[in-house]
Amino acid sequence: MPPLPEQAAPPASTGALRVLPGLERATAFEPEALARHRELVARMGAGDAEALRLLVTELHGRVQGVVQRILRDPETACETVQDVFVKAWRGAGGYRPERGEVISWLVFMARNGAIDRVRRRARQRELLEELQDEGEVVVSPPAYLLFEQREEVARGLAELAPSQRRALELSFFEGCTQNEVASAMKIPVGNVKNHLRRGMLKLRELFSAHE
Amino acid sequence: MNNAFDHESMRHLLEDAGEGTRAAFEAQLAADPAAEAEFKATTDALAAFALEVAPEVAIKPGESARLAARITAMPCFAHTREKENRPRRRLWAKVAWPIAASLLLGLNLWQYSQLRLASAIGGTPVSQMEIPRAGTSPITEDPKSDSRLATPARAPALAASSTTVRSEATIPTEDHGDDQPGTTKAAAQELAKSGDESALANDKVVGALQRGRLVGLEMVDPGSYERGERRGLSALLQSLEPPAFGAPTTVPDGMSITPIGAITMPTGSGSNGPVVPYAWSMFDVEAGAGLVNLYNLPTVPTDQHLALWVKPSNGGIYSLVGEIPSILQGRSGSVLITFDPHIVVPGEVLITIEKRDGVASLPGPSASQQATLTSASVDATSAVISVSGSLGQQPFSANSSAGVPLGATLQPGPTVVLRGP
Repeated sequence: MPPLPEQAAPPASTGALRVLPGLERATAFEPEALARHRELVARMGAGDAEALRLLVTELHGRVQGVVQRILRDPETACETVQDVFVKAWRGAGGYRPERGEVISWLVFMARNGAIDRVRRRARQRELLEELQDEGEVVVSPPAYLLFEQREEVARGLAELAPSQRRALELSFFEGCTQNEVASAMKIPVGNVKNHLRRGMLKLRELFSAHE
Repeated sequence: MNNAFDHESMRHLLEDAGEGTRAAFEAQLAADPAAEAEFKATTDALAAFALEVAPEVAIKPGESARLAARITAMPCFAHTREKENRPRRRLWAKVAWPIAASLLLGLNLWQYSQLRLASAIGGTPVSQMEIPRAGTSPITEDPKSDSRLATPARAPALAASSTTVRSEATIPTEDHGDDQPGTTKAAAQELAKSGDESALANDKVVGALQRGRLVGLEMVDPGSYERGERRGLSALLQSLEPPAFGAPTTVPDGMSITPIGAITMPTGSGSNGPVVPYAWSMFDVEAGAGLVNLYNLPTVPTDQHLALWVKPSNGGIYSLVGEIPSILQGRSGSVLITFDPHIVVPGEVLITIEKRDGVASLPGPSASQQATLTSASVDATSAVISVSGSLGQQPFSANSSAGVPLGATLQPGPTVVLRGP
């Protein structure tokens, strides 16, 4: 595993880090939070409405963030977020912690629900046209760089090659298939597969290093 | 794990794999704990990546509580909870219900065969079976009404002034004390069917919202109203063969109606509500959905149905959206209209009686029983809609307990017109 950059001391108010260097706001992946989420989902599976309220209260903002990043429309995002928690309620009994943490479960439900909505509105086609109009591969400044206070995060994610990051973003947030990513980045599909896999393995290294 | 497994994990998570591939991958995970652990690592790492790229959004105070309240007020929520809390059935109950269902199915088939037989020999159309209710005279077919139905240029009305529907225009009550023995079975059958369909309706509503099912319109030439013909409707009408609710089996693109809450009673168990057919609506235009609450709908012969039309808010012409579920005939209820606000926003809703043979014509131009809302509100906790308004000179108040799976952002919707001849 490549050495991780030196981690800056977190601010006193943010507590321990776990996922990525300097990930102050990653409280969703703190062990206590993970255990609490699992307990809440177990209670939801038994029909406890209060557990749902607690889960919504705790993770509403995070789910909203993911959905809003994809839909770019806060109003529409609210509907999708509601759908996510409805699905969580209905599927709580079938949640399997051995397949992923609760926050991950919600994140993928949010992502897939938002992508479905995007596809329904044919924004996918518009996006591809926009991307193809860009000509050469354009690696836009990562969103996190907009937040100066998150330089530590930037250092962690900066280990991802720009092409890896771009391929992951297009796959996750834009709902592109590998062929579409290849078309958007103007590279062969085989390269896309490599970028996605290496990027994902890098993420796993970063993740596991701080577990 | 190998390269192929990593790719398959990502495709699985991003829902980029076909059904067969997904099933095979699920089986692999179930059989191999090591693979499952690898999959979990990938899942959590990608989720962490997503949470970093898409930072948490600050939620306004109270917004999360409102969201939770909206969810817990949804029909699916109560349905699921009831299901979870339902005590275990005894063995006899497991046997009794299939037997009862078989009996009811047999009765249904017998009624259906009688209906087909009557049609085959050219007899009078058989009206739907009704549940006798206190204060309601037996439902009979008005020969005058039938003669109007046979007139190509006119369809019967839902108006209170119409003799066709006067006897049906009574608010349903729960008093079945005067039921005849023969009709008690029918009432039980109707109620059992109603319960099953209500549950199914709730699922369909949520499903429709989750899928954002959009349906299309069939536009109608406005001149066809005057000419007594309606172009292009035949094919669509023929496609309206009912599965469970009389809803279209093939959903056109652009708009749809879905039954929600088979029974929606006016405030005060109907005692202070008008006993004529009337309706009002609440819409969330941005969400592309709205509730149309229908009261005291008449029962129509089996060769006819209640059709729901919508005129776009920017003018234009009425378009047929679909069929009011037959379960709502002779009673009150709500339907959910979904639409794509980027394509069309309903400006007026019209309910008519149409023939099923596809040669129906619109009723005349006079409108009646138009409810005007003066106030409307949505309870943020229970999501019950309460309205007050007037129906002609008569004030009324009503609520809809159908639930609002749309968030508490509903506003009074387009006028619902029930047209008469």
